[in-house]
Amino acid sequence: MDDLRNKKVLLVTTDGRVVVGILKGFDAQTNLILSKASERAFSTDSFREIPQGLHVVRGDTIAIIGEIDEEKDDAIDWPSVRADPIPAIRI
Amino acid sequence: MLFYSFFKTLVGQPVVVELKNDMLIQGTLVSVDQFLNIKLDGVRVEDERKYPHVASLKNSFIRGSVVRYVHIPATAVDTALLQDAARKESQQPK
Repeated sequence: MDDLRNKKVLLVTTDGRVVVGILKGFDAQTNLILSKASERAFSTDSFREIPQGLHVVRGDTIAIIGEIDEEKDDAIDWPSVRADPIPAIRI
Repeated sequence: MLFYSFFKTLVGQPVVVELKNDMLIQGTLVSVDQFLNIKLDGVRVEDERKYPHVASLKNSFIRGSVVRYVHIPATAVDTALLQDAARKESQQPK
């Protein structure tokens, strides 16, 4: 994950939440520090972007982390996107 | 360590990772680690209409603990060799 340091990343958590932020730090357990974090809350009738500020995320709640393609991200009109929330991870 | 070594032989192959939340993520295997965390390049989620949430991802790190399956091309594996190695590994005293 070294190549993701200080990049804008998108995170999917095990409870199906989507968070974007700048990856400031991480460790072997994938605990993360995200700055300028903001949750993207999707639903079939609305979209909300909820600012979260500086966040520490515990590694075992993480499903996916990826680098955001800023061009693609800016091209999408997020407030108009409607979708069911991502399902939670089930063992 | 067997499966870690196995996945290392698949670096560069196109794979589909199925997560425990039923998401299917397609991409090229870039790397794997001892926890079977998977890094993929050029990711695409299978059902793009259902999962617009991740439309802007170019690559992804998938935590090993959330993986259900890794679908790999049949031609990428020598199944006889893998079966043999697995048998030997299971016979090792641990």
